[in-house]
Formats: sequence, structure tokens, C-alpha cells
Amino acid sequence: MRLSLFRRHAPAAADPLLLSPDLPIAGLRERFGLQKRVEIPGLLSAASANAIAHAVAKRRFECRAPLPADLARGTPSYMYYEDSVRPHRACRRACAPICAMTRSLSDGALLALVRDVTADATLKPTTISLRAYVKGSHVDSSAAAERGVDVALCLTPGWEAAFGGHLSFGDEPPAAPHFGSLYIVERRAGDASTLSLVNQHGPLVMLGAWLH
Amino acid sequence: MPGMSGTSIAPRDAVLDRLPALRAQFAERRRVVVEELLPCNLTEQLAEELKTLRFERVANSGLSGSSNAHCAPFWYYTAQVEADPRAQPSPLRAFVRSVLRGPIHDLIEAITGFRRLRDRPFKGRPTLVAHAYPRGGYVEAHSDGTHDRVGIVFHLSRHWEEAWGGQLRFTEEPTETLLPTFGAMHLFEFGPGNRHEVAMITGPELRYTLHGRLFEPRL
Repeated sequence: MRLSLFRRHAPAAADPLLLSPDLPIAGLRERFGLQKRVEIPGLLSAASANAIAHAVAKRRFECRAPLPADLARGTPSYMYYEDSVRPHRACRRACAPICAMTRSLSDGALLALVRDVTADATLKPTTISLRAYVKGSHVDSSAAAERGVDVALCLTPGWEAAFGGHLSFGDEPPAAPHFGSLYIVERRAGDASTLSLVNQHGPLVMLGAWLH
Repeated sequence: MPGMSGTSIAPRDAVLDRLPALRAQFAERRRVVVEELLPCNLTEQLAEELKTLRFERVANSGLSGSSNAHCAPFWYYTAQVEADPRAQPSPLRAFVRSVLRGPIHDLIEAITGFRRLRDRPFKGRPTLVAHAYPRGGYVEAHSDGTHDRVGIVFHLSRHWEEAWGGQLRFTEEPTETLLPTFGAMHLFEFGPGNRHEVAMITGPELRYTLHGRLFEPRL
């Protein structure tokens, strides 16, 4: 099975973005049911990944970090760059691969995959954003406000464990993100996730969404 | 208040007693650390007042829109210290004035041997600003501009632990790594011989400093 990320409004001029074929959906669903989290490696084809990486380099991100006064009041420390993605219809611009990916997560093949794996056909994304983790970026603790599903897709080729940026959900040991891997994690209210300090410029780029 | 005469802040007498040694060290290494520059209670007041400033994020991250290829990459918070003499007097403002044109300025000239050190406001801003390095904050190695003569770093974080990073590292021979020490003032001559960096903060606390630069006009 080869799933196109475009369900509708596919730009004629752009190459179609493709998910890797042969995803073992039944096995993934079983594992998610047991562990409430799953990593799906090698989700993107190499051509899709390159197209997205090229588009990401031209994005403008905003820095997110609490000010010293917020830290003094007990806000957990974090720093990353973020760009809230609103996909263009029938996008033919430089951002076409990102728009396609976002549409796919909004109401396309990627959302269908997440629903399949979680066995929850009612899931809908409430926020979708691109995050860039540069040198110094980290998230010490990000607690979920309500029950839902976190989805993150690593878009940076060649990211090594020594560069930092290790993801951790709940009491799970931190693990380095892998290029092309999709992480699907069920979180209850209060469940925390962290991202360890990034010590290389990178950036480590991830497409993330919160669904419930 | 010890160390303050009127609205001016002066170094401790013990620092003045060490002046010959400090001068000799600067002459040899082109950098020096002045430990316990001010009375402890005054340094405490400066540290408390520093936290009330309006900090803003500054970064040179390499990302599109937030990158300057001519600068070393960095990430920290910065805040201006109001040096206007018409502003409400405070220990922090008095300290800034002392560094720019008061007794601490005279001490810096005496240590460095530079006789015409001046403040050089940049875009209307004073050249002494507050920095707060959060977890992940850093500055990569750089040697600053050739127009300025002396760099000043005054440390205002209490009980800093070595494992938290934040060391001021001089990367050229003779290399040196200086731990942030509460109340210590680092002086160094600008130039390629004093290329320096701030190691990434890995601990939970903010690394607070007052950072400035003085230049020496040509005759």
C-alpha cells in the first residue's frame, strides 16, 4: 500500500509526497493498545523528506521561552522555535511540501494512519505546528492539560544521539528522535513530556500535533 | 552604606590594596579577575534589583529571520540599565555610573593602564547591560569589535555550581576557564588574544551578569 499525503487540492506542479509503503498497521495498533505509545520508523520516503527539509529551511520561526520573571514564578524552563502551520489551499509555493504534510495530518492519510493505530476514529487535531530545536533548546516539562494524543514527526536527517534533543514521555527513558519516525503517544491530563538540551545548531525540526 | 559615597559606588578598600598585583596580572595576561569588588550587602542589593529589570530574549540561532552570519551564535536574555541621572536613584544605577565615569571606572583605568576609557553608547543604549543566561543559554567564541578596548563582566548569581556550566572561557593561549563567582568582576582587553565564550548553562538557575565595554578614543 502506498499512501499519498494528498487527499484533495494536490498541487499539479509539485511531486506527490508519499508515506513509505508496507506499514504493519495491525501490529502498530496492538503495540499502541498495550503501551499507549508507538514509534513508526521510516514513515517518509526519501524524496518526501528531502522536499520537506528544503521547505523548512525557508520558514520563519518565532522563539518560545519564558522570561526570567516567569521562571522565578516556577514556570518550567523551555526554549524552542515554533511556526503555527496553516496550509494554503492548492499550494504551489515553496511551502507546498509542508502544506501537503499539514493537510494530510488535518484530514488526510496521516490522520487516517493515526486513527488506525490508536483505534480512535474520532480523533481530530486541535493544533499543528512546526518546531525547530536549535542549540540551547529544551523542554523541561510540558504537562498535558487534558487527555489526548500527541503526534510528532521528525523531519531532520542525520540527527545523532550525541546532539541531544532526546524525547521522553511520562516515565519512559529519554530517546533520541529518528529521522522520518512518527511518534504517537496517548497522554492523560498531567502527563509530562520532555526534550533534553540540544547542544548542536541543527536545527532539529519536528512537525507536531495535539489531537483529541 | 559601605562602598557608596553619596550616589557613587566605590570598590572595597581591600581591592585597592591588591591594585599592584591586579595591575601586574593584567599586564601579563591582558585579563584579570577582581574578586569581591564591593561590600557583600551591596552586591546582594544589586543582584535583587537586577532581577526586577525588563528582560527580553536575544538570539542568533541560525534560523531564517533570526540569524546574523557576522556574529557568533548566542542565546540569552538582556535588559537595559537606565543610566539617566534624572531617573530614581538606585544601587544598580549608581553602579552603572560608577563603572562608566566613577570610582570603579578609575579602578579599571588603574588596573589596565588605559587612561582615556570612555562609555560608547550604542544606538542610544548604555554600554553596560544586564544579561540573564537561562538553561540552554550560551555565547560561542568571539573576540568582539576592534573599536572597544576593555570588556567588563560583573557576576551577580549566588552559589553557582560548576556542574551548571556558564563558565567564561578564554580560548586562546593562555587558555583559562572562569567560574561565575558572585561579586567578581572580570576585566579583559578586547582582541583576538582574548577570544572568549560562555559555556552553555545546563543547571536550573539563571546566570546573571552586568556586561559592558569601554573604548579608548584616538587622540
